[in-house]
Amino acid sequence: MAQQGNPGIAGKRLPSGVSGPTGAGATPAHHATLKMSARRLHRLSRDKLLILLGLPGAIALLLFQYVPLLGNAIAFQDYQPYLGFTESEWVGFSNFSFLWDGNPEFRNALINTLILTVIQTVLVFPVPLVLALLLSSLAGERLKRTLQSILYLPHFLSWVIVVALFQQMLGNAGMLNTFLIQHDLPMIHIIGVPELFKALITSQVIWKDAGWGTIIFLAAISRIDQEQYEAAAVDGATSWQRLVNITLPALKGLFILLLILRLGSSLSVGFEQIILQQGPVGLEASEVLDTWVYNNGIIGGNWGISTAAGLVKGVVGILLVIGANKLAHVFGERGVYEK
Amino acid sequence: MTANAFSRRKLLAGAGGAAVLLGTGGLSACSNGPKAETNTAGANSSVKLPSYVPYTGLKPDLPGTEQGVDPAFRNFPSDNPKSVAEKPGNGGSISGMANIYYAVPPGPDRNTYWAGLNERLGLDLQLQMVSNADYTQKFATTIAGNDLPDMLQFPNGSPSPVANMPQLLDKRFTNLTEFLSGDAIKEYPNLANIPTRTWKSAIFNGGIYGIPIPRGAIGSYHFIRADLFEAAGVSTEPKSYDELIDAGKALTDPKKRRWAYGLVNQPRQLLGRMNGEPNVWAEEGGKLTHVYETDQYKQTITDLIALWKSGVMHPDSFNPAQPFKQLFNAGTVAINAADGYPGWTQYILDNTGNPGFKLGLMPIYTRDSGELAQWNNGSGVYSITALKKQDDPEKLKMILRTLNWLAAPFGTEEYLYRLYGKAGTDHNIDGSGNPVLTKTGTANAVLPIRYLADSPYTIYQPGRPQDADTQHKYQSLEIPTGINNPTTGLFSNTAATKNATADKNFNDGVNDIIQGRKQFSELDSLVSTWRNAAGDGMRKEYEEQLQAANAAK
Repeated sequence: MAQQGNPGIAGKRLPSGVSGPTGAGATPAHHATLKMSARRLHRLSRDKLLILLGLPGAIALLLFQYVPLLGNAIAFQDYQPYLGFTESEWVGFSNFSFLWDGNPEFRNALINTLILTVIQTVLVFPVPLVLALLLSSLAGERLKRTLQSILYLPHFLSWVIVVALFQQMLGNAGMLNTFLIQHDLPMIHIIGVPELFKALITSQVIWKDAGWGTIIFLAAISRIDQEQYEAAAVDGATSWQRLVNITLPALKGLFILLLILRLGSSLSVGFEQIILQQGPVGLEASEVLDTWVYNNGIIGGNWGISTAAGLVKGVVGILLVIGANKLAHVFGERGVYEK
Repeated sequence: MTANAFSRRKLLAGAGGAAVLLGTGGLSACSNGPKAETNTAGANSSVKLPSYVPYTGLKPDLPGTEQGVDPAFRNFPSDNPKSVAEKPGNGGSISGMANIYYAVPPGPDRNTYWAGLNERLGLDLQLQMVSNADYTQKFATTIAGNDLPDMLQFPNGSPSPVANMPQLLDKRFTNLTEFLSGDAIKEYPNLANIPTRTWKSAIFNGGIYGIPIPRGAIGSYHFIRADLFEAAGVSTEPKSYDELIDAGKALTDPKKRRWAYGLVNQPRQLLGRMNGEPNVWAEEGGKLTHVYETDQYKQTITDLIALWKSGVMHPDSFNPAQPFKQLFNAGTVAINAADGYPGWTQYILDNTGNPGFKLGLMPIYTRDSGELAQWNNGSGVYSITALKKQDDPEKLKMILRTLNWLAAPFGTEEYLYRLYGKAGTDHNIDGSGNPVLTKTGTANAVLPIRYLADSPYTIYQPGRPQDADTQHKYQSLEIPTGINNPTTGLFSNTAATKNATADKNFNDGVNDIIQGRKQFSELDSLVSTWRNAAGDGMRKEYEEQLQAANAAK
């Protein structure tokens, strides 16, 4: 019963949502080309204010997002900064050789990245949702506000500060261990231990950004029609049943949308955060694709390989987004864009 | 929304297609063919190095030696002769870029020191000052951006960690051979005062491609907190392995947050010298052996395992971001054994408000013979300054005259201005005739011009004449035992492009061994991994150059 009800609830929300019905723009295939361009002209003149409004943004997007894409040409060059694009030698796909030549450092970075991707997608990604549900279940408005502010705060700290804070608290010479040493207790090594590195990274991400991530879920929760809860309560549904049958289904579309978007950047698992903490644990435990690109490409001046790696990452990200979106469609969800 | 997404995808495909087109089009059209190898050892060893004409205008209190002990002055000379007769400039402008270790000072319109410098140089000196931490990246973007300053400091190191440096120099910078080789340098007497050994780091492609920033042969000091040694009742001169270990234990008290050593590299250097490791590479008959491949290195690692277990190292010893200078200033660590020797000045300045602070220098002995261990000399060079290609040879000469002015030797009138600015504004003279920077001077006079050209290092600590004796005595003790790195002045592209990561991987593994996370037996496989990644490549490139250089002799 509840399963059937879900699309209805989602559907009810949709018209007021982001996109309107697309029927108005559909042009039948048999229309003459002439008529079509006339129609386009008409639409242009009708929408010129909107187009003008959108133009600066479009130009900025073009200049700062699309034009730099041409720089990817470096991936196919033995690029030397002092020779520039024009004089650097073209080398075909040899910069991509790390993909097939069994480069052990690249393999290590890839494995670490994939593990962190899985951890961050499966464990970290749902945390804001859980937190949002907890927050929304709180009764006192003032308590809720205070808690929200406290939870948002870490988001505004830069990684340098966050890493330094963790170091000062949990480091080998930090508060905790200084206290232990002074009371003749054995030290607890947390930072600088390769086995704990991924757990450390993950807990930092949760501490810093889980609170911030609740905003969008709280907004969605606040839009759920309160009458549904009242009706369910009248029908005798427990609060757990209300959560499972009303709140979660209402958030499903949003959750999937965010998940798909997250997949697109899933191979970026935190460059700044990791590079700041690589020193004590070593590369074997901490090297990820982004830091590999930095350590090999930027430091060693191998620009072509860095760009090639970035390109591969981008392509994988796009494939993941498209794939996940297709999958969402199969399950009858809207995804990022519709078919 | 649908239409939007579609066009966005189309645009993406278009951009991707363009990139591919560019790629394939270029493949057929422009292939540079085999690169001509110009940076050959034969060509480089045939370069006639600039003549060395030491400056004799002022007599130091303690003379330097040919082996590389720096001359020392107890107090600033009261007589400050001029070393450059005429203004180097013609009223034009010259641009330069260099790294800076201080807050960037204000521009010439709000900086009387800078305005005065321009006045003395007779030109408008335009400087890009880049924080030391960002310098390598800024350097790379400057090269890529094709907007080069007239004088460009290459990143710190000998050779600079710059990929394909010889080709870069050849393509974009001036071959200065005709101006500086042999006696030609006498035109620029302050540049002729730079010792011959340092010029080797500026030789590429069979020519002189830059002005070296000279540094003393000593390279580093083993700094110690002599006050903490005295408080612990141990000698500041441990004469064997056992004495060193005992001193470490006496200096350590974790409950008071006190340890003997900070970063792991510091005891590693001390023990390495004690065990007789080579200075990075050992050469025998043109064949090179890296320190990682020696038995002495294995002994050092064995010693470090014991040292770490005994708890005399700071718990954060394996974190390269450890603020070891602050820990040393705070007395948290007592031995700071692998720090650059100009650090003396900074430690003294940092501790002016700490009356108990007593800085000392620790000689190092072999394990049990009671004799001094060998010293690893530094490269003798901080960096080199290369000059952009110029159309007008007159402008080039003006730049060289400017660099000649900037390289004015210690104690001269020009030196006094370039380090201490104008009397009364930037500095005041104390009772013993030493210039003391004022607040204005401290903020204004830190232009990084000393990284464009500099005179040879001179020991001098304002207001502390005894420091000159301490440092000079230490250098005179250690320099005679010094050994050089045989690859100093040679360029290896593998070293510039691959060794940073390979070395980091190797040291990560070694750190794991020292901390007991890996077996000692794994050291051999770490070495072979490092050799495959970079070590053998570097060896080959260096050996070729060494052999060719030997053949040319």
